[in-house]
Amino acid sequence: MLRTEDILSTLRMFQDENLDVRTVTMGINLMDCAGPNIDLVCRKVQQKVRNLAGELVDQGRRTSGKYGIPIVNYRIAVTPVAIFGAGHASPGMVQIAHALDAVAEEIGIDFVGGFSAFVQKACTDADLQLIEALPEALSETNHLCGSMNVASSKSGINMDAILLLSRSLKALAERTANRDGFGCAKFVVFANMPDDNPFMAGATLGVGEAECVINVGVSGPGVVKRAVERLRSVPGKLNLGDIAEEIKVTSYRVTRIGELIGNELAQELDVPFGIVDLSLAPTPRVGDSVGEIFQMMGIREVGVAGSTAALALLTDAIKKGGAFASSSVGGLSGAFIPVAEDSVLARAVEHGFLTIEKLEAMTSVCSVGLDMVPIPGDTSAETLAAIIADEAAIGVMNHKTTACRLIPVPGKKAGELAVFGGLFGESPIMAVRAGGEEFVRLGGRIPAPIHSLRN
Amino acid sequence: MATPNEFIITVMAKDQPGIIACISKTVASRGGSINELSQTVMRGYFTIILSAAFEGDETADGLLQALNEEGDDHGFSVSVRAFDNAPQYADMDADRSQFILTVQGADRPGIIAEVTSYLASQGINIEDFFARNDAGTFTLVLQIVVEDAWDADQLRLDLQSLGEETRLRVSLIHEDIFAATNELGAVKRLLQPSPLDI
Repeated sequence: MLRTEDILSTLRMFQDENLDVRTVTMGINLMDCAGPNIDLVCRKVQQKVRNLAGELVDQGRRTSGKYGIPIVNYRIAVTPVAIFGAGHASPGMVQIAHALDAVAEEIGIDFVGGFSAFVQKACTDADLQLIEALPEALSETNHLCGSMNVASSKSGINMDAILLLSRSLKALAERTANRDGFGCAKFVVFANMPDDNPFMAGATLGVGEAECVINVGVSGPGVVKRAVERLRSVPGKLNLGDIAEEIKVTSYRVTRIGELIGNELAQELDVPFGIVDLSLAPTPRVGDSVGEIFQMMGIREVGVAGSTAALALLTDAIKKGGAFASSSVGGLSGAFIPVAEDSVLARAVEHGFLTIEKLEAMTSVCSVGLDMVPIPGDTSAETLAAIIADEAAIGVMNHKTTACRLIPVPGKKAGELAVFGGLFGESPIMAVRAGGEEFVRLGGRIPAPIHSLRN
Repeated sequence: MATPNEFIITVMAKDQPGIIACISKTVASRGGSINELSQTVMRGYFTIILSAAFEGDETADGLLQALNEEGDDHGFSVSVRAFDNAPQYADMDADRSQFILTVQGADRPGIIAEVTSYLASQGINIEDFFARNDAGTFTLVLQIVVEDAWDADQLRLDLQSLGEETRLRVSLIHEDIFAATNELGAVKRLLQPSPLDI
């Protein structure tokens, strides 16, 4: 039997606290579209995406209408292009990129992820072609996103791939210089990349996944912030354990909505339901910020002493609540700290509290990494690679996913404002410290870590 | 065996210990068995509705008189009706969906009348209803049935425009959302009820 208070508290999450189903992402296997004729490959890709996902948006709207809750984005994650597009040179990869972009536009999809490769140990010819194609592919398309796994706890860190990729990312930034290097906001470099992440820009359908699957991402930083705020407004003694407990319960409630909508949608579309990813994914809107949760926990500005501990508490509590709420939690599940997309984080950069070094420390306990971080346009490819390697090292050594979405902003220096617009937000450019170029140029692979002697 | 004689009984009184004991003893002493009951207390007033079945020739008048006599000390207001066929909306139809309609706004006379008149005009039945006034904000929570869940979106739009005209904040959300966020059972059981749920 539902209590009135329970009804009103659930209602408040939607009406006042910006809760939504952030994304419904359909994973589509494209391995059977591979072939030697690139025109045929592209036609098959479009046909398959159209057949499986053509109804996704309409059915999603019907489900959203039935339950009375918003679904914000509809996305597709495909088999990494470097796998099913193997055998084609970079112009062929670009052609596939255009084909995916066009079909996404046609069926009303926001983003399609999968211009991707797994190169944690070494690169295949196809991986190299994809890296070469990257600047053209992502600068000439609107809906396409890409990602690359450059490191893993089992394989180590592929420094050669990181340097090649960094050069490509610099070229991509230059090609999109009129939008402050926005092309790089559509590409994520991972260590220990998950196969079922529904969030962009890092969504792909990894090897070992189903033919077609529905994954759901729920967000709700505003809900968590208000829950902590309400808890703190009640007179009486309160400690951090109480806050963790409140976040855990809130995360349970939020995740259950994703579980319900995902199951219903998968049932209506007659495809298997994959996972729910509860990640606090902020938007630049007030009341939809992860930074505000820090403030509610007593951290005045994100980046001051205590920020890493607060983030650890937050991420862990979210994972615990989410894990109990869903039959299958996957993806990244935790807290995102994308600097440009979160107005409180961007302001902490502006006020000098949040530096790239502190942000890197925080990423060792959050769910992703250096996300949506604008850096000076004159940062060398080697230094960019060194930052990526640092972030990958945190993931590899700690057996967790880490990622970089770094945006070298052409023509702008540290402290100047990078503006990406809309949900991608804006942020002052963060200063980086160069000097590791020689280390990066040595190349090769940093070996995988030992599993014993952990300390 | 005679067909059981079933009655629907309502009793209202100032809340105090012993009301249900008095009612149930009276029913039992006359050979009746209570099938179902629901009670609530609001602002110090107790009210109960129950259904009871009797073997033999119990009558509504006889039951009413007995309850009034036994409940005299408690100040009962009693009403008794012979049970008729189940009303149309009490049928458990698998296709229908339960929704929670909430309406919030500054308190003024006529809010309930406006909302419920609209629902009545659309032939929508109210299954459960709660209203309260918190410091001038009036909140209505109604459980309603929508015959086809896929039509809920249109109803939502209509209700929201009614809300705009009448300066009320209206929301219509499927009951499963509240079950999912407030209960522990597996979500799949909301979509595919298992025999264990009965």
